[in-house]
Amino acid sequence: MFDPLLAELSFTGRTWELTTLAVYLGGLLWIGLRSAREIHTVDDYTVAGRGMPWIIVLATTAATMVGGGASIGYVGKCYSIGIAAAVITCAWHLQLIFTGVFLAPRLRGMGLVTVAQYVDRHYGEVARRIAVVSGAVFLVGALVAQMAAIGTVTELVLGIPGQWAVLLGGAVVVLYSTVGGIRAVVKTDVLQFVVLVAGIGGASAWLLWKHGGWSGLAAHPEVGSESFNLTSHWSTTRLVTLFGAFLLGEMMVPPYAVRCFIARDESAARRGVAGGGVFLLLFLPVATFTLGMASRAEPRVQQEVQREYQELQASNRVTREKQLAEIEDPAARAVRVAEFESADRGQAGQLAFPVLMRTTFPPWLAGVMIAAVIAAVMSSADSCLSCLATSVMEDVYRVHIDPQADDRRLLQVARWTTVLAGVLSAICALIWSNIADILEFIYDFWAPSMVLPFIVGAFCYRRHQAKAVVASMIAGPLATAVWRFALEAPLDISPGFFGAGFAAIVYLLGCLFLGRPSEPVPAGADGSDGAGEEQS
Amino acid sequence: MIPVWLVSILHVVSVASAVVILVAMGVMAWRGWRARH
Repeated sequence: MFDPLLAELSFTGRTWELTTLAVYLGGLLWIGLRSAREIHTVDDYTVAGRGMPWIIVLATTAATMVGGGASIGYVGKCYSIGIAAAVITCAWHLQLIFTGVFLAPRLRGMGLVTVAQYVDRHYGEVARRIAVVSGAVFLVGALVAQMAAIGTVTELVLGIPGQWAVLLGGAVVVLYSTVGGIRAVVKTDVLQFVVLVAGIGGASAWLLWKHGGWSGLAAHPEVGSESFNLTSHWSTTRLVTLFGAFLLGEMMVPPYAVRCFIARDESAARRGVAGGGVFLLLFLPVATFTLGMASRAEPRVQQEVQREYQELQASNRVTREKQLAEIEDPAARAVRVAEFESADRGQAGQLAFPVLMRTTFPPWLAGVMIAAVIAAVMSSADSCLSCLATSVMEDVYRVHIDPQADDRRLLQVARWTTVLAGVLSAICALIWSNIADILEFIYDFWAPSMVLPFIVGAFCYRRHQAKAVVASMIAGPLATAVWRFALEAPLDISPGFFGAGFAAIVYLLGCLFLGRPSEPVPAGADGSDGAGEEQS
Repeated sequence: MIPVWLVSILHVVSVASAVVILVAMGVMAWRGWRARH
C-alpha cells in the first residue's frame, strides 16, 4: 500500500518486524497445541471446564473486545475527526460493564453453553431458532470481517500481500482453535491482551513524551482545538445515535456471553466481564486518541494519508461521476459529494496508525506494535470461530441431529465445524474485504433481535410475555432492513438504533395485546434469576 | 469542547491502568507458577 516507505525501511528494521511477528505466531501455535492436552470433555472444549479466575476472564474479554476496528480503525477515525471518535467507543466498554454487573452472574449461574439456550429457557423454541440464526449471522459476518482484517492489517503494516496474510494468519487461528477449543482461545487471548496493552499503552506514552505532553501536542498546528470539539464533524443527533448503536450493537454477542460461561463462579463472571469494561474504558479511548493526534503531528503520516486520499479519489472518479449524473437536485448532489469525500478521508485515515508505527517508532517498538495490532485482530477472530463451532454442536447437532451423541462425537463435530468455518471464512475474506461494511451490517441486525430478550430476561421477565418478546425479535430486524435498505437511514439515525427502538415498541404493544398474566410464577421458577439447573 | 487538562489527566489514568493490570497479571502468573512447582 505504501511501497515508498517499505523501500526506505532498512534491512535491520524489516528483520526486526518479521522476527517479532514470527516469534509471536510461533508462541500462539505453541500455546494452542499445548492446550489440546487439557481437552477431555465437551465442557473443556466449549466452556474451558468453567474454571477461569476473574483476571483471566478480564483479559480474554478485553482482548476479544479490541479487534482491528477498535485499534487501527479508531486510531484512523481519531486522526480524521478528533475526540468524538474516541468518545463514541466508550459505548462499547460501557456495555461490557453493564453486561458484567447485571447479566454475567445470571448467565454463569444458569450453567449455559450458548446464547440460544438462554433464549430457549425464557421464550421457547421459536425464539431459540431466531437466536440461533441471529447468532450465526453475527458470528459468520464477524469472522469474515476479522479474517479480512488480518489480511488488511498485515498488508498495511508489513507490506505482505493481503491474500497470503489471510491464508497464513487464518491457518494459525484455525489450527489452535481446532485442537484446543476455547481453552486455547483463552490462553492465546491472555498473551494477546498483554502484547496489546503493552504495545498500545507504551506507544501512546512514548509519543506523548516525544511531543512534550498534551499541552505540547495540543499546541501543534496540525492538531488544533477543533480536535477536542465533540461536534466538529458529526451532528449531535449522529453522535447520540451512533453512541446508542455502539452501546447496543455488541451487547451479549456470543463471544462475550461465552466469557460469562467460562468463569469459575458468578463472582468471577461479574468481576471479569465488568472489570474488562472498566479497564478498557480507562485505557483505550484516550490511548487511541493520543495515537490519532500524534499521527496528525507527524508530517510523514500526513503526506502518506493525503497521497492515499488522492489515489482513492482518482480510482473512484469514473464510478462516482456516473452516480452524481443521476442526481438532479443540486443540494442532494452536494450532500453526496461530501459523503464521497468523507468516505475517502475515512478510508485513507486507516493508514495513519501503520505509517506512524513505521516512521516514528524504533524498529523493536514497531515490531511489538505490529504484533499488538495483529494480536487485536486474531483474538477477535478466534473467539468467533470457537463460538460458531459451539453453536453448531450444541444448538444444531445436539438438538436436531443426534441428541444422544457422546462427548467424542460432539468434539469431532466441533472440530470439523471449526476447520470448515475457518477455511470458508478465509475464502469469503478474499472475496469481500470491506471490513467496515460487514461489521456495520451485522451490528445493525444483532441489537434489534437479541438485546431486548436479554434485558427483559434479566429485569422484568414474565412467562406470559414470551410472545411479545418473540414478536419484537422478528419485528426489530425487519424494521432495521426497511430503515437501512428502503429508506437509506434518514435523519442521521443509524439502522441498528432505529430497529432496537422499534423492537422495544413492538414488545410494549405485545405486552398489552398478546397474552394475559395467569397465576403468579414462583420465585426461581420463571427463569429470571439463575433459572435452570447447572448443565452437566 | 473537552479541555486539554482533562485529556491530560485521563491519559495518566490510561497509562497507569495499563501498568496496574500488567503487574497484576504478572503477579498472578508468578503465583500460579510457584504453586505448580
